[in-house]
Amino acid sequence: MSSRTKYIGAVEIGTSKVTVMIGELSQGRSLSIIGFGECQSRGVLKGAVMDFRSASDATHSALLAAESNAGVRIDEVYLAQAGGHLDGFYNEAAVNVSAADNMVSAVDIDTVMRLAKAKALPEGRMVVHNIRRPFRLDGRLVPDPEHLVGQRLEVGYWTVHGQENKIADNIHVIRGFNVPVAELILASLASGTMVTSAEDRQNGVLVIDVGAGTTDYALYHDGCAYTTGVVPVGGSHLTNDLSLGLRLTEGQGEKIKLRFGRGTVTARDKGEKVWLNGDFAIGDRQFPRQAIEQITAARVWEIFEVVKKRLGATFVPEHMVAGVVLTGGTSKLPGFAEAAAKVFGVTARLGEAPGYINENLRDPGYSTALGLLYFGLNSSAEAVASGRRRNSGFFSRLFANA
Amino acid sequence: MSTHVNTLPQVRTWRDIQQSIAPKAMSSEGRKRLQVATVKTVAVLFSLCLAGWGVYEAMRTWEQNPMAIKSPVKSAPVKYIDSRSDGVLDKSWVTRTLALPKTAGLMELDLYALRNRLLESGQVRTAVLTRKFPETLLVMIEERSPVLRVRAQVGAASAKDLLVARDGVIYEGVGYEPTLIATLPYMADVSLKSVQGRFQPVEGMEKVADLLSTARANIPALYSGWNVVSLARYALDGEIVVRSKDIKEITFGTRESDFFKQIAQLDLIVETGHVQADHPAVSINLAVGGVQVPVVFEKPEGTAPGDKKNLAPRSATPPSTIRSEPQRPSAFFTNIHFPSREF
Repeated sequence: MSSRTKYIGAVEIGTSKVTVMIGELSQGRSLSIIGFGECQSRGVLKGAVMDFRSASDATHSALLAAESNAGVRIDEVYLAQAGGHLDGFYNEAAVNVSAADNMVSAVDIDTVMRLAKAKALPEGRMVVHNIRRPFRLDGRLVPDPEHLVGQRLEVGYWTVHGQENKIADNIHVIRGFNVPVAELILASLASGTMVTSAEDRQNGVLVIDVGAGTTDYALYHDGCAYTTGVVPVGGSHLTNDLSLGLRLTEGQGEKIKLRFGRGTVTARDKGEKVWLNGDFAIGDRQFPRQAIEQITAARVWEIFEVVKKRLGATFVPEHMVAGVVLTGGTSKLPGFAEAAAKVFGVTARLGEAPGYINENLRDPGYSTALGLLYFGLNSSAEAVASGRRRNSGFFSRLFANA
Repeated sequence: MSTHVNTLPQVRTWRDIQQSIAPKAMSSEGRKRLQVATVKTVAVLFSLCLAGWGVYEAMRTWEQNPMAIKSPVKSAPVKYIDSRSDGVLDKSWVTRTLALPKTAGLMELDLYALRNRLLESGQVRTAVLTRKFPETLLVMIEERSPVLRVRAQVGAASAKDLLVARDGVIYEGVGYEPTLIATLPYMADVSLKSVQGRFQPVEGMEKVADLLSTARANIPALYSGWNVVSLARYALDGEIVVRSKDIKEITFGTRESDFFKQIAQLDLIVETGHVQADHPAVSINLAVGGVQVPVVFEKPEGTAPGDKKNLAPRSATPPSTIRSEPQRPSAFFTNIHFPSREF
């Protein structure tokens, strides 16, 4: 694979939109974003496929648009996995170092890793990720314990698992386009990697990706993801709240949310009114700005509270040196970071894509797709570095789509 | 511990999900891609089968009828032979030598054998044979040029004149003008070796050819009188002896390979009157080197051996140029001073 150019697709099937980006991997070492396609999502609710045909049509439209934009065909897809069905647990294991001289061997490491990952899941659940935390050798954190001397080796894994049928639905939507899924990556990990630096992740940071249907979060510490989770509440709930509270249609609620919604309440004048459309046409109405802000701020506050509650004792403000980083389409609402700072009691900011990303793709709504491409680049680079032989020959390419 | 590890529960991951999907569940674009991939697969399999069958057929034919492989194209018989040469050999000689059967097809010709047939003559240095479809055989020839001739006898046949090329190859010249052949000196005092009725090339002919070409270019009048080139002392002393009409023995040295200088000395000796008709030189030795050239004159009739008075040439160069006693009877050394003269 390293000897040729490969075109990888990053696909995020979200509740409100499907985003596809195409990256050109050269020699497995450098990646250029050469194609972009976006389509309004259909048949997806809270990150899970509900209507296969509608979701497929929307996803395939976005894939076609991206391929048309890039002028190439996608070889394989890196797919984001979200949805309220995802859950996680922590499991750890320990072994006594087997060598007489107490030097940790590769066998010890392999044994403890297998033990830590081996935990039976309920029926119908399957693993999406096994995220390893740093090794501990006699209580001290070590990145690689091999050849170190100690007596007790411990390691823990944060295992993310989800419902088998919902994961399969997600994959089959892509397979319906006759493109293989190379990797399935948790959406919060993809976006978290993109909007935080390695230093942030080492010092401790909480990344919250507020999408339309779900809110994904990932808590990083010591350079790795400690906890991840998905809350099935997102920006669409803000729209729904506005629709119910102000007696609007969903479209009108979305419009009001985007124009006047806030994460915190700043309007002090109860009499301040804003127009629904502002064009003075028949049906145009006025609404109190404070009411709009109160509705949206309440829901935003609630989302953060739920996330905080889910994190529980894992979230220690003193350990979150880099604070909270917000991303996702809904995070563009004004006052969003202030609300997060108040709820979590640490600094909060909007995540930004690195400077080398094109200005048009630096919107918080694209951080997950960008993160998927980043994962694609890293996995290819690792494959090249380890000299791992992959299906890269002429025949492999030829039969890849069969 | 290992037993414990081996009994760990098998955890299913997303990679256990079958990625294959029924074509019905695909979108139109997906089905299109699947069809293209299927066509490509079938095409590759078909190509592989075809290639395998081709190899099998070729092997079978090679075992049963190799000629069928050698002449896969049933071409038309050769109608024309296009001959190009840088020498005297013409199309008729080429046609005669190749002796192609009238029905021989262009693709059936063994060009290697035909080329060897041309090279056997000795006169042909290189030959390139090319098929020019549909019915022409193109023959391009480079010929050897003769520098000497030699009279030789093979077996019981009568002796005949053969030609010697610059690279020492001895061959029977074909197509040369008799007047041209007549100008070539004979090669003498060389033992020719014959293998299977063919003479082996004479070694060291490059230097002889250099001498002859230098003489022909610079002293054509003297060269025309050269009759024999003797190589008797060539192998041992590196001397080439020329016997000419005017001077019985002219010795050239090959140590320095400066034939131009030796030719110039010879020309000067002849021109400045050291050699005259009534007092011919018997021998001029140019192989000594330097400015001194031993010249031996013919002894006049009636002179006794040791009569120094009669040894002096009548029209010799000034006495100062004459050295004391000659080292050999009837010989003296002459200092040669080259005038600024262009050859």
